Amino acid sequence: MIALLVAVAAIYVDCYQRLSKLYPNVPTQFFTAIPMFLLAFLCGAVAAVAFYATNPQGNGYIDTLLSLNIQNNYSRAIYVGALILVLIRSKLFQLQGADVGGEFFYSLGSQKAINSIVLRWIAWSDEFVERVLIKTYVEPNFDVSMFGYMKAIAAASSDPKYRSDVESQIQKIEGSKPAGAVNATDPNWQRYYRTITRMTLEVCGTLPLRKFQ
Amino acid sequence: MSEVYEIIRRAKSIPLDELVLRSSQPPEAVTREVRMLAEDGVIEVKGDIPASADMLAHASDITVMLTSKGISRITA
Repeated sequence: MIALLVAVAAIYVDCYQRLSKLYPNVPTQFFTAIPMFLLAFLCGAVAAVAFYATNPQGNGYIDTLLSLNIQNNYSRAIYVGALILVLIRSKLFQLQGADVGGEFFYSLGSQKAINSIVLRWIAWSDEFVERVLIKTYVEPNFDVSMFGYMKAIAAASSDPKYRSDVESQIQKIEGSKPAGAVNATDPNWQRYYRTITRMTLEVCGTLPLRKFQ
Repeated sequence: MSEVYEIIRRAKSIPLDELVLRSSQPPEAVTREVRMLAEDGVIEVKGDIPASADMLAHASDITVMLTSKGISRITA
């Protein structure tokens, strides 16, 4: 059970890291997607089998690799659980540029899991923006404060291209601000506020928009 | 990677009018890029892209979103 849980945690961390490299604000709630759970559980089951099928007192190559001859069952279970990701991702050989071995199946499974997370996230984001938008019109200086949050996050980024991209997009949005008082029924104001709301969610996550939920 | 694709990639899903607003390129160029990416299968366009560039700025009911293929391409 410990080997299974450690392996499940390792798979979740691996997928989270892969996704958060591209999207820093990955909401953790989406990691409950069924393909993600199945992938983690399958790898956990492999770890459990590896734990029960090996003998820590054995002298064979497999026994030594999977147990390191650790006699304590708890320590051995943690070791096997943590090792399983390395074993599964082992590449036996390459065929026409594609990895063949556990890595091939793991990449296939993890890609499906990540796809399902992102697709769920897309649906959630659209619904979130629509829900929040109506409450933003009454907030004085909503645009100024959201631009401030986005500029702060962009300034903290280590990627100079990302910083300049965010700044130039903010400039373009600022330049499109409709004249006159805020009007929630005017399509120009709707576009202006919706764009700011969506971009804030994308750059900063939900935190600056929490009070509008 | 084009600017338009980069905006879609980061937003994951974005109405066409917002994409036009955020891009530094003219609406016609944005539309061309969107059509090309859709043909490539990395994005999906929900709704019909208007023929007139003037109507693009108000195309809030047309959404551009990454497909599974698009997600796979960036996370692989």
